[in-house]
Amino acid sequence: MMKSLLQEMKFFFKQMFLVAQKDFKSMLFSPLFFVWSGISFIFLSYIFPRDLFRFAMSYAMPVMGGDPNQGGNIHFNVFVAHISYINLILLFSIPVLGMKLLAEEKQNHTFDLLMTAPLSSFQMILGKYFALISLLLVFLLCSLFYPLSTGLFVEIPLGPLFSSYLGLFCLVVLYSSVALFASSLSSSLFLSAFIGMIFNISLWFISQQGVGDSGLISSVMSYISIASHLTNFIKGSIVISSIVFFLSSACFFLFLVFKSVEFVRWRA
Amino acid sequence: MIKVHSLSKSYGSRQAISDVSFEINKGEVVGFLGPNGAGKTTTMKILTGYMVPHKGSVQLDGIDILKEPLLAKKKLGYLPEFPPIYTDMYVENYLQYVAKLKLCPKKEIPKRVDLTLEKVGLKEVRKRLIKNLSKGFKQRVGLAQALVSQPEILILDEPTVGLDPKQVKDIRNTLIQLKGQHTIILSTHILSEVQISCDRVIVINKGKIVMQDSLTGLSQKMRAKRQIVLTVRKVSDDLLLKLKKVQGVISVTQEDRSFVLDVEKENSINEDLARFVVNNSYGLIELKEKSFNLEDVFIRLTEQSKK
Repeated sequence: MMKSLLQEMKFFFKQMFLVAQKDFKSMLFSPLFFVWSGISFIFLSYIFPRDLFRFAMSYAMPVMGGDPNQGGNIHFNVFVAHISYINLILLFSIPVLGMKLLAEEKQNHTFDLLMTAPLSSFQMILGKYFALISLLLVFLLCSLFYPLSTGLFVEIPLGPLFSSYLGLFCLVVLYSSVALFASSLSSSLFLSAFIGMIFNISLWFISQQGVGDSGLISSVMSYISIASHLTNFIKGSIVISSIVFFLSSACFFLFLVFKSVEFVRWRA
Repeated sequence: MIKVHSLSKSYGSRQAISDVSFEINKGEVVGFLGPNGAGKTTTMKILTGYMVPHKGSVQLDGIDILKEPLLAKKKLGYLPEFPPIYTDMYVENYLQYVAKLKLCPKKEIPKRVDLTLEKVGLKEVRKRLIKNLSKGFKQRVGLAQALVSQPEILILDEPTVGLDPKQVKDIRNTLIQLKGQHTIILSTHILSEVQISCDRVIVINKGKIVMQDSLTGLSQKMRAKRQIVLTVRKVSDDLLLKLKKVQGVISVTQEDRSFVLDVEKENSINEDLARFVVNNSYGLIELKEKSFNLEDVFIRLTEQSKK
């Protein structure tokens, strides 16, 4: 009993990793990824030193400005800006990077291969999902180079930096599931990228405060607010409920992907 | 090997197939014939586990594809209407990927890939990007994909559509070579393809099976009727009537200078007709036996089911 369960688990992960590996490679070596990461890093390489320089100036001459409450904190003055730029980049580019995952399979009819291979829909979806996350992990790790390199010259607060990056990773987990869902909806690449962006943007807007001040609604609204969860991470605190929020929303979107893929099988 | 029992599937209000049942024995090559939109692809998709039928069951080698899809799919090689190829991969890597996906034992994969490349004649392009291959080669990559796991059952959905005549011939030759190694279902609307390679035909029209028979049985049925086409240079008004009086002729229809004669089956009527025409100096141009091919059967069957 135990042995067969183990074998089944092994089979499950083997097939899943096979799909993940293939998609990861094909995305990593695609011209799209090269161009996109090139542009992103050129942008960050321009913005980051500029912010750092401004911060250094204001630190040297407090008269020139700088928030008196947070004065002198490199994390809040430089790194948070860096992280919010990355968030902005991810918000728009994950749908583009992930659009091919299912939409292109449908467009090129390779979806038939996956659907008729000894591979469950779950294995396929999770494989593709992890491929996208791994790709973005590569990007995140590269972008970590900017704040870490400042550590060569000054002392930097590593704790909040890493918790902020954990927050970014949570965002990647969420955006990727949204992108995959958008990709499962159509066989047009452009349309799926567009839908993904709309979803991502609405995720930020849905949680704007001020819908109602009554207890329940406002507490629900604040719970589904991405901004407030991300703020926790940026401030340096790892809140379990925030992690649970990101994971459960990702699971929700993955469930929708599953339904959308299975719909093809059961289509009536 | 393949047992299909009263399959039904509808898309919304449109019934794609209804009550389709057939059996295919091990090693048989069966042509699955039907006009476009008859339900061929839907049936193929259900057989391969891509789709779930509303009613009915499919057993592949005793395994129900609805209950144990993963086990059943291991036995399958499927070439869909459009070859499912990743254009950004190299031919060899693509086949390795498919072999892994189809759960081939790891040690055997290089050997199987080599063998498959050889079988479908892709050896010289194994290190090329699929994107850069011609359409014929892409189709062969698609076929290789279906073969690489050495499946017991091979399902091919219109494998020669859109190819030039040379490529069609190549694919057909490969199909003939595959005979005996797999149980093959060949879905097509091109009849000569079936005539060349299949043992048996299943004709489907408007979602229903119209006929199942072996090729020999089919041609026997066809031979029950015999027609002769006669073309002459000089046509006189009474020729039609005179022809009808020749012994053995059942009926005659005239098309300009040609006459189509329904004649009795066992009769050496050709000679009599030739003699008749020459003796009366009508100027014989052509006298030929009309051969019935699958095309006629097919058209007749599909028209019958229309009525």
